Amino acid sequence: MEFLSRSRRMRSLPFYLVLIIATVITLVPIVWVFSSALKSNKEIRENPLALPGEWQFQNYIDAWFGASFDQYFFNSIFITVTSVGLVLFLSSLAAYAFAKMRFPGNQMIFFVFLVGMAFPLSAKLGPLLSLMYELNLANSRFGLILVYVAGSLPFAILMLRAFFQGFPQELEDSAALDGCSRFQFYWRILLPLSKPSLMALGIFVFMGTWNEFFQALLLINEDSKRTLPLGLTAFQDEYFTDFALSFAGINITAVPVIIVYIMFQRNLIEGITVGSLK
Amino acid sequence: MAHSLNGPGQRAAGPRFRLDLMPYLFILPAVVIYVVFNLGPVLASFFLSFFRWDLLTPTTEFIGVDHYNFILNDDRFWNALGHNFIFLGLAVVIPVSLGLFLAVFIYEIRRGRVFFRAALFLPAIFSGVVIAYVWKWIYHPFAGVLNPTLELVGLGAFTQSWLGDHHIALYSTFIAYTWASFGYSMVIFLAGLQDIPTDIFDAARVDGANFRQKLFRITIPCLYDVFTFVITLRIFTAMGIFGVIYILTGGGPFYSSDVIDIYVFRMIGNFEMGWATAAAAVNTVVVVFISTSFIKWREWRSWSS
Amino acid sequence: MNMFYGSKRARRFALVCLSVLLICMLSFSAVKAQDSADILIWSLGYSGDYDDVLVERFNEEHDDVQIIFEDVLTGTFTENNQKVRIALDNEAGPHVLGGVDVGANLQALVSTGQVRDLTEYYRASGLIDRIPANLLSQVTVEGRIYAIPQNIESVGVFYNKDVFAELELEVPSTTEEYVDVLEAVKDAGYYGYTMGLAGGWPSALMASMFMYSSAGSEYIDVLSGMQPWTDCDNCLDGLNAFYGMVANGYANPEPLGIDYDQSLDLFYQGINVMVLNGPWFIAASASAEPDFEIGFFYLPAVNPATDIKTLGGIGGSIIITEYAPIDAAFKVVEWLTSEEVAVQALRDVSVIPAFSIEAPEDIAPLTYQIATETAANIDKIGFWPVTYLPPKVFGDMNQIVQGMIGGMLTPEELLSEMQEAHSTYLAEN
Repeated sequence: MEFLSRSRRMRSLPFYLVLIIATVITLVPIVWVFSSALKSNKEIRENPLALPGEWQFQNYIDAWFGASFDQYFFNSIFITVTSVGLVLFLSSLAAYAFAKMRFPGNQMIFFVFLVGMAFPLSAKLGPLLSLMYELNLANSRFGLILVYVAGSLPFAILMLRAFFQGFPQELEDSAALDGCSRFQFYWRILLPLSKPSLMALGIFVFMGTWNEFFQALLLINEDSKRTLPLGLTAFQDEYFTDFALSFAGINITAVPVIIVYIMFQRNLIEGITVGSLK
Repeated sequence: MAHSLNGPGQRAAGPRFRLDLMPYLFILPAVVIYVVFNLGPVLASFFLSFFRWDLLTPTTEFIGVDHYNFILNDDRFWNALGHNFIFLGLAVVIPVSLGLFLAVFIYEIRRGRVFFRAALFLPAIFSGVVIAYVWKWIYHPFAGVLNPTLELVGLGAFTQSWLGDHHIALYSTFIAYTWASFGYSMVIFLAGLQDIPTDIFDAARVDGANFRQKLFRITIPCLYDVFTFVITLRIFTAMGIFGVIYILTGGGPFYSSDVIDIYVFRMIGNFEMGWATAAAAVNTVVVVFISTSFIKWREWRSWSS
Repeated sequence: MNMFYGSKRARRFALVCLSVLLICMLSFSAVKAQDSADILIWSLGYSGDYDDVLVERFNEEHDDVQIIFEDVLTGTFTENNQKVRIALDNEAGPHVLGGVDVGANLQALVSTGQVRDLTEYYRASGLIDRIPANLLSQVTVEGRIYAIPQNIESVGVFYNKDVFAELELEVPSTTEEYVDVLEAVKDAGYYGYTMGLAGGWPSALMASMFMYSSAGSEYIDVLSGMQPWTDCDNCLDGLNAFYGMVANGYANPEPLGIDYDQSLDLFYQGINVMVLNGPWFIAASASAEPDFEIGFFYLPAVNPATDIKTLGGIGGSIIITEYAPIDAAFKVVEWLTSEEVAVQALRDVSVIPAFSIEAPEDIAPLTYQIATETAANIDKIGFWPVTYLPPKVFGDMNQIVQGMIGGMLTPEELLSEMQEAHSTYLAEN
């Protein structure tokens, strides 16, 4: 037994070696960006590879208060949280209908949603811009939320439909016997029971919305309405020569996703894999 | 009341047909938002590509395929589309195989699976903007880390102008894309691996199969559908690449890293809405054609074997 | 299924949803509330943080009119101009727009009819006597005035005084002397010309400057499509001079691998000795805290016969949109163009006002030098030639100039590429 397990450990040694090297190569850029944000400009120039000598937290304070990152941060939170909430509500409602109800057009309408996943983003930009101005929704956070929700719905419905289809029919039947309407069943039973799936989907949508750049670039003009990725590009134009400050800006944009990722790592990966394998 | 529920196979076969409106109410909000802000603009874009239209003047004039004529005769368009294809060719090989090997390695070890999976997936969670800025700094010719690191490990001969040389600018952006995308393939492969019944591997071990035999005889065939999905995902991302290249090179130097989405965005910025919509329409057709024919081919192959 | 249990849970769930919604709506209204102010200004300028200082001062001094100031700059010039045009066309833009380019861009805004005719205001306020005639002509479309030039930018060479002293170099006044200085700097192991062309925009601008200072009005004819690019020998001379900065080793290496802002850092580090830039560079370089003194001279014209002292033009101008509340807008404009505010801007961030003011002598010497030299040469300042080019052709030009610097095109081929881009555009429109 002792011999066997040792040989097994020896056998997996090369795997560990490769994985450790891969992890180091993957993480070095991230570590480097974080350490650079704590350096002074002089240190970054003279020795880009070295670790910070004296930690300069001032860079973060300057970026946060001096370069409106507080405003960008608030906008990103507001837009992302609202979008995630709306996507979860609307997609679960629709996915329930697609998965559990029979009605003329069920298959066809679901297919129309699926089609939306195949189009590249550039296919809708021009008319979208025009439309947003027509509806007075351009250059507004609310307009951006609607665009994000519309963009996330196809995947969300696909994923939740697959999940809801796995629900036993008996559950619904017994709820009906208790005098529970379909909306009550959805609201009181289906949603609470689907919490893990909703969580996974929510985290997935959170990441996508928080990181979105292309549509925000097109639709948002004013500084006070910029999201973090957009603010970062505007910020780079103004502050590029301040190396340390731009590293701090990059970090402020990246830290929230890292925190969410560490907290909900399992849910996120579940969201990706469940959505893909079913 | 039982009949208020209309689950599949439970529909009451009444004498009179009565349309149940409830399901439509459930899907209505999603349909409205989706059609107005997603599908509608896509269809409008196709439609408007046959008109003269510039976002400012309300009048539109039907001009047939003139925009397509221009686009298809524009060298810059083919240049950009060609770069998308290069990107696509590389993307279905490099991030996918990296993801596969790392997934297999993680599957083979016993301790630290969660750690390695989490650490290797980390770059995939960042915004394209963050990724691009990180790599802009890495590639920086004077303050960056890549060239000094290469010198440090004795590969000084490989130091170069990563984003300024038109021969390699596109490939430099591809490295940034790979860094950010192999994690996706990896976690999907890993999930696929964990779905393979372990007794197949046990049987292989009993038969004395080595690592390579296991990989090519068992793992890869068992992951057939996962491969289809992972590669389809790469087709979409490679054909729609924008943020990373937009920030790293802006399509330059001299269009050497131009791709379709940047071409379209530039056209919109120049008020050339006709050309922009036509180029986007061609790109859409290409993407839909490639992805559906790829999926059909995979299905046909799995049926026929 | 226990319905009581279910409903209790549902109530809790609904409560959570409601409170999230409430928080969202509250925060939404909190950010919406600020829209109640009278005048919304959009800025396309680079003065960034300083504009906030001015606006804060205005809002403190005035009770009847309040300003909201928004910076709207992201991406390239053409992208921004396009965004502004669409917003104005839909009346979803600002009341006052600051920092918009003049020339073709102003004409485009006027053609959509969203810009207020300011001719009467100019006469009534006496502004017409305070702005030099050649600046005024830049904001005039078919005899009517549509914009107020706010500040003037004259591009010149900022140089490292310490290195000049160490190498015993004199400030050059002709092209020959300038080349001698570049050679001397190169022999001493420095770079004389700062170049960062990644990201596009500086490429077309810099090549244009050289072509303009060699061809003068002929180049304007080329840009307006009145003369073929390939027929302009003087343009070719200017282009060759620009290319010479790279070919002769005067410019820093890797001009295509770094963007303009990154290249400026080479100057702050003391690796590059000279940098071509505008007055905004004074404030920017001060915050970079280089450990040497900075001097300034005008880049000698490639072709002295053009009599172009320097390049530059209206850095920022103010326009008022058709739908702006006019009294409040004029009040804001009047304040922005007042001598007191202009002097404060000159003193604080070295913005050279477009309307004639006397530069006070107690400001920073470099600012004082540039302000007085700009005022003295105001009739010899050329104007940003790019404002004549349609956006598409300007966008192409950035990439094509990169092609020349990267060795993919010769200067002659650059001109014929430009000719092709230009005529394709003209044929399509």
